[in-house]
Amino acid sequence: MKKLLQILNLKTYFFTTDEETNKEIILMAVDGVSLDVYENEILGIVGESGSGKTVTAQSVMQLIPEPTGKIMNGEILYKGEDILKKQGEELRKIRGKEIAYIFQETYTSLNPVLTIEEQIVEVITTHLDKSFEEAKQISVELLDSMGIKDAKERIKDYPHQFSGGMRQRLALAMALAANPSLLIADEPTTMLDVTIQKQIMDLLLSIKKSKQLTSIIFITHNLSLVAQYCDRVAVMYGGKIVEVSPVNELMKAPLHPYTKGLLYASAFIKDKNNKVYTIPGNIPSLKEVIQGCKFCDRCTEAIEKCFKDEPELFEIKPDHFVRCHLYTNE
Amino acid sequence: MKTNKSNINSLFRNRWFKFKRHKRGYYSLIIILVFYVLSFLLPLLVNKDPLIVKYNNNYYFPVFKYYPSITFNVISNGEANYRKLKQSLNEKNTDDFILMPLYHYGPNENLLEELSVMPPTSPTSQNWFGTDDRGRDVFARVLYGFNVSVSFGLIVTLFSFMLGTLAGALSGFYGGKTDMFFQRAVEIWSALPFLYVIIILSSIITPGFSLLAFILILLSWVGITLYVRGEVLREKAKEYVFAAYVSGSSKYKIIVKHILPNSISPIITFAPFAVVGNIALLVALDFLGFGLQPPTASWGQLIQQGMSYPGLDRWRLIIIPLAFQFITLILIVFIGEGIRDAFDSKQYSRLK
Repeated sequence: MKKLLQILNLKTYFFTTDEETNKEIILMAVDGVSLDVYENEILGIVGESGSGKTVTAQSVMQLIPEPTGKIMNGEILYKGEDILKKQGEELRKIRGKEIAYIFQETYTSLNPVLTIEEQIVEVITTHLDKSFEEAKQISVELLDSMGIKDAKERIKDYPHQFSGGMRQRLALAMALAANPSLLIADEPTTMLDVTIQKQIMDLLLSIKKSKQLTSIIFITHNLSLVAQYCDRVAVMYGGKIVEVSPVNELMKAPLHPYTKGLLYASAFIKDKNNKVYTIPGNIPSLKEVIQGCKFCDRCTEAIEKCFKDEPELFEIKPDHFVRCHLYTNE
Repeated sequence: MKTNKSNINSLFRNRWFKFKRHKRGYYSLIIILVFYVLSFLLPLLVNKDPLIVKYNNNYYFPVFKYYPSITFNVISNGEANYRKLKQSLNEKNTDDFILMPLYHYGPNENLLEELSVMPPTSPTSQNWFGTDDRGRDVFARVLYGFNVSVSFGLIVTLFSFMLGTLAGALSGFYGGKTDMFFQRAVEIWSALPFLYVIIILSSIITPGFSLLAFILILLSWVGITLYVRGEVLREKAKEYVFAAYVSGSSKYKIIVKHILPNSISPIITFAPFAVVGNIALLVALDFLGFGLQPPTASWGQLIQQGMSYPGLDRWRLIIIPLAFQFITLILIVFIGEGIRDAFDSKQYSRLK
């Protein structure tokens, strides 16, 4: 399969001052992430809050707020070109035209003072060589395909006249207006009801089949959505990828203790005391420098080596990568 | 029907309807607008020059054109006194006639010849509010002064807000070093002693209307920058701005189309109060003699004349312009109140 997007050793750090000690500190939000996105697939990225999922995605779009945050290292190859080197006009041609992005916040992701039509037409006329009238026509069709009824009338409405699920459809319409090849969906369903979540995910799938859109990066906490809709899944922890695998394999036989923990926790498996399983401890603060594996102090299977050396991400089976000492052959 | 519905839902439409419901503000706006528009027609309503003169079967339009007095067979310096001309034409009983404006006196016309006592004189049926110390009609001067004052307030507010919005938007949007530079510049600029600078400048260059407005714009744009900057700082972190970025919009488009329309409400809310402030400032400067120079009709100068007579003998020279100023300002304040309420999202609280 052809690679659409390649993230190579991406490091995105944030520079702030510690409130208690007043010292300059570096938060390693994304610390050496390498990830491939193939053509025609849905890649899920899962992990707890603060594991670096969103920062990875924002780095791809160069949305890291400078000067607090900075991409320190790494390459992001889109169709073979390093898009981190692009700026200004060139970057704007990638954003929206090649790679689109939708957000978790359905209530603020649309401009409250512009009509839906104005916002979608703007995207179309920016990227495609269309007249205003043509763009209007395309917007109506687009909204229609997003399952919005009376698209012709409703397109003249303002964002506050739509419900949360509808807004996510509108945001999706806006993101896909210029026919991008890759869509990054940053927790697009987190704010929505379960029934609406399903509708949005089904919509994503149907769009992927009918449009030029070839790949989707789907960032979420929700493992059941991943199991249902994704082709491959990457598990992130502490700014690093700990496991990448085809989704069926990961669900059947997770390797990394963290992945196991996540799966147990979300499957509501109860233990002897009739309590839902949880991973002990909290996600480490990005401030702390942890020697060895970042998960070692929460890991139930940790061995001595885990506290000393950081494991590498290696391919244990074809297409299945894991970052854990338990599987290194020694 | 349907198209109407969507129009009504626009945010500004909503606010306009909310403003309309605020009766006091709405009627104040209508009154001020009507009088302000009328005040541009003052040369046709309150003037010494007639609209039409028919003399020896020729038509003349002295309002628009200057005719030497000899045209009408009258001997005087410059233009003929049309009020006298009208009387003499009436006596002659010919076809000739003069159509005068509603009120027959101009703001800058010296009535010394026609007055029997030393000016300032008391009100008469001809000069409704009497005359000032140079024998000029006070009623005409006060009305022309209304136009000058309101125009001045509007122009200074408009341009200083434009400058301030631009500076605030750039400062807030670019942040970092640009913001640092702008904010320090604003601090230094706003530390200038406002009144002293104007007094010093106007004692050197005796400003006219536009120059005085220009000086005030330069000195007063800083106030609004802080508000705009704050709004822009808040808005630029919102998701829809990110959404605009990721859909490939340019920075210019993001500022003008996305951020500014969302940060405009404090500007609009402040504007009427700023107009009030600027009118009051103009009157104060005129009163002190550092504002508009004679013969421009101005309320401040009239007040100053009234104050210069011992024992406040000529109190109407103080009261009349002050009353006009008071009514004008309070109407604008009512408009401001209405706008403020219309832009206030928390008009009704769910908790009572």
